[in-house]
Amino acid sequence: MSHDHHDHDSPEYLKKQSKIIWIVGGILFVATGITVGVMDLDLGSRSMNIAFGMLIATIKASLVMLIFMHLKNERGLIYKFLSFTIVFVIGLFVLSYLGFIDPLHSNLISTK
Amino acid sequence: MEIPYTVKARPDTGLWNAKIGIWLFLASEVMLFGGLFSSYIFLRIAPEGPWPVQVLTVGWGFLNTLVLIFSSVTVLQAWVALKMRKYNHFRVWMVLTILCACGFMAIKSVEYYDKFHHYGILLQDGSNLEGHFPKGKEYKIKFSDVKTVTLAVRPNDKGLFGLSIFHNGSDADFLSYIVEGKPEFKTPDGTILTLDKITLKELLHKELGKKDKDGKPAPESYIKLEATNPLRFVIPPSKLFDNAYNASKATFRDSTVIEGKLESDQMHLECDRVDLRRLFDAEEKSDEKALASVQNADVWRILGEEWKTKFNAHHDKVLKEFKDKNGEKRNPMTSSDYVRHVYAMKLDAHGSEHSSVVPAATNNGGHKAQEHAPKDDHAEHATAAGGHGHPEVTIEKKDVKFYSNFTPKYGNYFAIYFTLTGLHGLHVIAGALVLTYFLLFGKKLYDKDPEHMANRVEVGGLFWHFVDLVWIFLFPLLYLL
Repeated sequence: MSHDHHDHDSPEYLKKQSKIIWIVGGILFVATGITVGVMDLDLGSRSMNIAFGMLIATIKASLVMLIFMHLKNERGLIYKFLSFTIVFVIGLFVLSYLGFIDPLHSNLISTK
Repeated sequence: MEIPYTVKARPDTGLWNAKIGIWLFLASEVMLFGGLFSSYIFLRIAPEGPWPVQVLTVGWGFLNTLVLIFSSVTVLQAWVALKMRKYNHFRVWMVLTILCACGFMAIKSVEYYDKFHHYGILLQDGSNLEGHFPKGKEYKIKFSDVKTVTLAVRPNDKGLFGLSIFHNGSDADFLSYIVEGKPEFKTPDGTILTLDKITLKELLHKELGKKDKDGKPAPESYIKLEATNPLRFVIPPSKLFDNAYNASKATFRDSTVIEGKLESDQMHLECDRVDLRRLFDAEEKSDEKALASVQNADVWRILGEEWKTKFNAHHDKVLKEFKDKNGEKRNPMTSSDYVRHVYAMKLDAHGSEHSSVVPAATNNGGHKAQEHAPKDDHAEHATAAGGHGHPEVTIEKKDVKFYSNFTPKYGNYFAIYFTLTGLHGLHVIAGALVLTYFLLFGKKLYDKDPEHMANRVEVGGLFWHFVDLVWIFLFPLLYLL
């Protein structure tokens, strides 16, 4: 799907791909069950539950991107696009963070 | 004209064009949803008031996650089938994908419907009751002995693109809320008219034709009609201007005014939760002070004192559990879970350990909390097993500061919930439409160039996986945290 090599169009390769897709789909099903289950587990604090839940979501998202969206074998140009995207998304999250701090008026450097 | 590089890779990029296009598009989509996720975090960290508790059904969200994951698998299998030149297999997998999309939207509709019929009622002191209006007892404003109806007459103003922000005056809508009495009126010139859509239109048209001394049409006029018999109205509040009624008069949104006697504006609510978190400061660190501040809450006057006793027992039990787990040193008020669990208490048998017997209490204000009796066999069994019913209460409108169903009007949580899930839902619909197009009209291209068709499906599939990706984060954020 990602490379234009002829061996990637061979029936053997495609059959293998079909099998991998089912396996990854199964893993995603199980991971979704774990995400729900982990919310009721006593991990010490609520923050730990949230962190664990988001970690599983990130793993699931990575599997979708790498296997389903074939980023695993993708060309460098796509990675360049996505690196810019990541920078901008981080920027968007920093903007929200600026709602809670005031870097212009708070004493970032102690004068004492 | 032949579009180049639809199948073969461009030499400079190493990719066929549509693939670069879809990835650029997805990059912009990531930033769109990234901005909204960032807004969600902002609202979650510093909410304007108490954050709603478990208002979404995890089961539905879980099921929808599985549906989307399965559809991601099927859309890939459809692509594999095309690559293997098995067109019939492609069609089967694509039908399954589209069915999943329809299933997802159907489940989403059920969830939305539930939210539109779930209400929160903020009382004057800040305590809050949540629940449903009982069937057949939806909130309506009742006026009886209505003898005068005043119609507002305004020239028809179509406004920009036919949309006018100003209402064009009275229409026949108010007639549909007459439940008793014949809509027979005496007009100012003494004529007796039975009003319906047609006669009302004629009456308004006649009034519009009148001109002032200078020969110009009047910008606005009124027709006062006297009812020949007393009328009774039952009006949904959405048909009136917000709070535009008093003991003797009500104004409809089309400016029609009725004059009579306010019979009732009571609300009936099947309560499933009481939320007391607005009664103390969000930064309150003393559990004793917080508990003291909720003792005289308006909700107890409405629910009855027995529910207060049960709440206090619920508080003591949760506090004991917290101390057993965390020791005496940790302040329970530093735990948002503790505050939510104690001060936003569920009022049903399954969620609260105090509902095995639902009290029937009459309070000073004459409100009554009574068990909403289950009707079917299954529910009767549940009652016998430990109490099923939510308490049903009657609330006077004067006790209500604000009320809304679970829509963006209710607060920031539902604003961001509907924005995120609504936008995601639109993506599901758009993706499903594209995939349906491939399914219905793809054969011609497949016969001409199967690899080109496979590439198209790959691009559609990439978008579909992105839709799945967004939901993977939406599900835990909105349903679980």
